[in-house]
Parts: sequence; C-alpha cells; structure tokens
Amino acid sequence: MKKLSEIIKNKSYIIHSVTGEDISLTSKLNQVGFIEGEKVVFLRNAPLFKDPILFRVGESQIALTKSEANCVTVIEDENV
Amino acid sequence: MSKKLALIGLPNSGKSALFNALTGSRQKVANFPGITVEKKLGLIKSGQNDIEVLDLPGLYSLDARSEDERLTRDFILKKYDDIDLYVLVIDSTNLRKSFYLATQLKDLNVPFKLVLNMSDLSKKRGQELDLKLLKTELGVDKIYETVAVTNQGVKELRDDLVSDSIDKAVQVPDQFISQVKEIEYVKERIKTVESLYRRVVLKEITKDGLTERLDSVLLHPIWGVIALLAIFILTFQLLFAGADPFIGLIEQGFEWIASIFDGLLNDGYLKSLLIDGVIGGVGSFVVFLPHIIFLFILINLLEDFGYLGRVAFLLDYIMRKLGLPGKAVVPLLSSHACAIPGIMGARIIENKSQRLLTMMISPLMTCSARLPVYTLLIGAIFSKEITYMGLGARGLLMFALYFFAIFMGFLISFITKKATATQTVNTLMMELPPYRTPKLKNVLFSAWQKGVVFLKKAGTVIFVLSIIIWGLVTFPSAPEDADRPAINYSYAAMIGKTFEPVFKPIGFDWKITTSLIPSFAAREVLVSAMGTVMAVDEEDEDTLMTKLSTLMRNEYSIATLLSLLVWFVFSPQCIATFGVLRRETNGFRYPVIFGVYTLILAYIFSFIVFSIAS
Repeated sequence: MKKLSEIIKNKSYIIHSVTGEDISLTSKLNQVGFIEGEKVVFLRNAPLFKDPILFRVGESQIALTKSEANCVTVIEDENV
Repeated sequence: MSKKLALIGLPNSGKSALFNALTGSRQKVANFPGITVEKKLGLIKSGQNDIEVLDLPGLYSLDARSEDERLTRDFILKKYDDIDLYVLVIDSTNLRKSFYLATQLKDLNVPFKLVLNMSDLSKKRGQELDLKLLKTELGVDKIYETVAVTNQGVKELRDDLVSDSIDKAVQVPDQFISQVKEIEYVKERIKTVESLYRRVVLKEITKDGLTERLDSVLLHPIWGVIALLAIFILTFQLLFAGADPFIGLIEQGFEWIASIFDGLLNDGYLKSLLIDGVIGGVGSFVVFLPHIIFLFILINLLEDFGYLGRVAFLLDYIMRKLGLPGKAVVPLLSSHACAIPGIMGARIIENKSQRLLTMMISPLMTCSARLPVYTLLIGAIFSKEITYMGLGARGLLMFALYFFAIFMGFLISFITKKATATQTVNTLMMELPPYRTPKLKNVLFSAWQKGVVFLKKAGTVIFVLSIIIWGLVTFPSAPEDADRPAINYSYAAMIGKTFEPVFKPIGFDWKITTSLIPSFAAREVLVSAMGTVMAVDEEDEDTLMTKLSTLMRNEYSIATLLSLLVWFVFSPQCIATFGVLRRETNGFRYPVIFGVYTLILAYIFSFIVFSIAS
C-alpha cells in the first residue's frame, strides 16, 4: 500500500481508502471521484516544486495538493 | 402567476452556457443579500407566462463545503425564493460524478428536469447510454440532450419549461444536512451511484486524447512555463496598448461634449458644475470600460478554453506560500494596468477570503495612472539623467517603485496568512476541465455584461464622489481682488492648510496636501493640481511637466519629494477603486478598511523615507 502522493507516474493504481481527520475534506475527495475501488493515474507534477499533483481519476483530471493526496492510499492495479 | 426555475449542476457542467442559451440577453446580475456571491437572473419570454430563471453557483453534492455551495444547497433544501422547478445540468462526459447530486435530488423528491449537456462530445467519444433506464432511475419524465454553446436541444427544453405545470413540494427530513456528512451515508451513496452508472452506461467514454496531448505541452516543466509567461505578456500588452486607443476615444468624446456646453453656456457655477462636475465625473468612470472589457474578454477566452485552471495549477505552490491561490496572478497582473479590472477579475477566485485578500492588495500594484505622478516627481528628484554602470537613475527608481509595490502586496498577504492560518491541510482539489473551443459570442457577451455591471453599480458612487471633489475645489470662489489661483481660496485649500501640521512630519506643505484632494478623483490629476496651486500657467502637458518639476525641485527638498513618491505607492487610492470595491464586496466595510490601511501604510513609509533622507 502506498500514499497517493508517492505513486509512480503513468501507472494504474486502485484506491484502497480515503482517510483523514477532516471529514469534510475526505467526503469532498469522494465526491470529486476519489472513491474506494476507483482507478487512479498520476499524470504530472506542477513544475518547480512538484506540488500540486495532477491525477486522472474516473473520467476527470483532478489537481490535488500534496497534503490532500496524502489522505488517499492506493494499491497497485494488477489487471494491467 | 409566473414560474420560477433555478439551474443547478456541478462546476464546469456548462450551466452558465445553458443559462445564456435559455434567456438570451434578458439577464440581470445582482448580488445575493449580504454575501459576495453573484446572482444571475434571466427571463424566458412566453406570452403571458414569463419564467424567471436563476443561475445558481455550481456544487458537487448537497453536502456543501464552500459558501457558494451552501447557498445553492439552501435554495434547494430551504426553498428560498419559492423556486418551482430545478434544471439539473449534467456534463455528459463526466457522468459518474454528476450522479451523486442527481440521486440525492431524486431521493428528496426535488422536482427537476434532467439536461445532459455537451452530448456532442460524449457521443463523439463513443459513449452510449440507456436513456430509458436513466429516466426511470432518476424519476424524471424526460431527458434533454443539449449542446448549450451551439443552442442544440435548447428550444425543446425551453418549450417544455413554458408549457409544463408544476406543483410538487419538497419534503426534506430535518436531519438531512448533518446526515449527508456521515461516512456511512457517503459510502452508501457511492454504491448507489456506481450501480446506477454500471446499469445505464452501455458503452464507456474513450479517453480525451486532445486534452492529454495539449497538457503535455501546456503543463510541461519548461514549455508550460514559457507558455504561461507568453500569455501574461499578451495580457499585459492588451491592457496597456490594446485598450489605449479606446480610452483616447472616450476621453475625446467627453472633451467634445464639454466643448459644446462650453460654447452654449456663460461662465459661472452652472457651467463649471456641468463641465467639470457632471461631464468630468461621468467621464472619470466610463474611461475604465475598455480595460474592464479587454480583461474579461481575455479571462473568458482562457476560462472557456480551460486554461485558467491550469494557471492555478502551475502557480499554486508559490502563491500558496504567500497566502494566495494560483489564480490570483491574473488580477494582480491586470492591476498593473488598472486596479478596477484587477478587482473585478478577482472573481475568478472561488474562495471568499482569498478573493477578498486579492482585492485588497490589487490596488497597491503600480497602475498606469501613477506613471505621470512618478514621472513628475522623479524628474524633480534627478535634474538630469545620471547613469550608474550603464543604468539610468530615473529608470532604476521607477523600477524600484514597481518592485516595492509588488513586495508590499505579497508581504501584506503573507502576514494576513500567518495571522489567520487555521487550516492544517492545504486545499486545492480542483478539476482541470477538458480543453474546449471558446465560443466567441459567449465570450464577448459576458465581457460586455461585466462592463455594464460596472457602469451601473460602481458608476453611481464614483459619480457622487466626483461631484463632492468638484465642490471642494470650486467653492468658495476667489474674491474679486484675488492675486493667487482660485483654488487657494477653496475648501480644498482650507482642508489642506488645516491638515498641514499632520503632514509636516512627512515633509508635505499645504500646497501638496491641497493637491492630494483632487487626486482622489484620479491620481494623475495631481500633476495638473500641483500646476494650478503653484500657478504654472501652461496648457501643454509635456511643457507643464518640465516646468513643474523644475519648480518643485527648487521649492522642495529631496526628502519631501521622495516622501511624496512613496506616499503615492499606497495612497490616495482613487474613488473608482473605492466604488468598485464597494460594489464587489457589497458594502462599505471593506472599502473603509482598505482606505484606512493604505493611509496608515502611506504615512508610516513616507515618514521613514522622509526621516532617513533628511
């Protein structure tokens, strides 16, 4: 298991859980598409400081800050 | 009785485009009472039964987080304004996420029409749906497939909205608002959404290859940064050079009107009131129109294309450290041309406190109206161009002023961030929408609308204040045997003289303080006001500038001139700035706070500079 902020670029992962102290943050993550079981791909970092990070989750591209991405844990997608 | 309907949907669902398509030009923009969220109202004409259409801020679900979202949620749950019917706008290329809100509405029996917008894109990318099943699952009688930007499918929706009768009531359980926040609820909801998605989507949408290819350039560590800089330079150029001819035309127009009245009327208060007060006052805010329209054409183009979110993505980290969102760069940059479009441009920032902070520091940026003042004072400080290591001293001082203003703006924002920081997690969580071709008609229309709103809402305040300033410099008139310019006998001079002791520690005499009063109308007026007070009889602007700077060099110490220069970094803020701040924050509180803080900073820094220099 890895944190979403630590995954390898352009490789498919599956979301294992979305956890954090701030429930409104985690439920918002759920609503924009970070849902258990959903596939997620790390597309790119912002230049210079590598933060925020752009992911493809479901059909959309969502940018998260590193600390937001830390709330999501993933496992490798073995079907690919 | 007329019907009322509200448009709701996720951010980027094309809701506003549908609003424009439904209501055409029959729209007005207002603020919701007490808050800074904008309310867009439109009308569908249909003989005797007109329909009022309200465009509500986008939201992901009924578990609202931001102020905008809470507003929309309360409209739905608490039935504000007695809305009869909701139109839920869904981006067909992004169904799963949209189903969260859709199933919530269905469960609450909220009466809504379902619109699948951007249906052309989803079909092109191979998505196939079981619309019949979707209809039953969401409990709607019909599904409308539209392409709002080209009006496709809009007529059918409009006709049905006109003819349908509605008499459903929403029954919302009391515990609903807290319930939607519970983890169990969210998990259950996600399962519902997933199962609905699996059943209605017969063929999934293919990847958006174009967006990924464009992003590999526009978000590239090197090319992306170059593209960003190029767009910023273009923005800057367009605001400085592009708007100039139009500003010139407007000024000439008002001069022409003034000249007509000049010939018609005899000298006297009425003529002065009409020409200097009324025409001058109206002219002083109409002249901002080119800047506002140009900036919003550009912002709308970038937003419709999908680039604005990318600006935020590229600059988020640096700006976040300074307490501002990445997007704040756009209004701050525009403020270097003029603070008025800058303050209005802060609308692109969703977060209320960050938007407010951006509006409060934007006017510190060196706007073009300060340039004549800086030129005058720098000319007075350096009698001729001195060069250090190939760099001109005048140019260096000008550059230092630009830099100092930016530095102060960021310092204020940084301090505010440190003082108010409560959040533990940095939030951005922003969707980067797929790139789309902007529709020129929508871009132009919405920019024009911003201009009209400015004229109507900010214009009145600016106009009234202009008349007051005109009164201060005109009354009482000079006595018959006056040997000095008329302004020396006016209320402005009296105020200037009264406050002379207050400004003595920063080196200003009554002539300067008197000239500061009319420069509230517009900063560059300081040049002509100083000219009047110091009795320089010169019509030609360039010659006036040269004569006046020599005169000021002889009259004032370098310390005073430097002090005045620093004063102009912060204050006076022109009345148009106050007018537009009042309009954008919906009250007098923030303009007052803003006026006080810039005044205090101006005094402190002028005092420091004056003390050191003398």
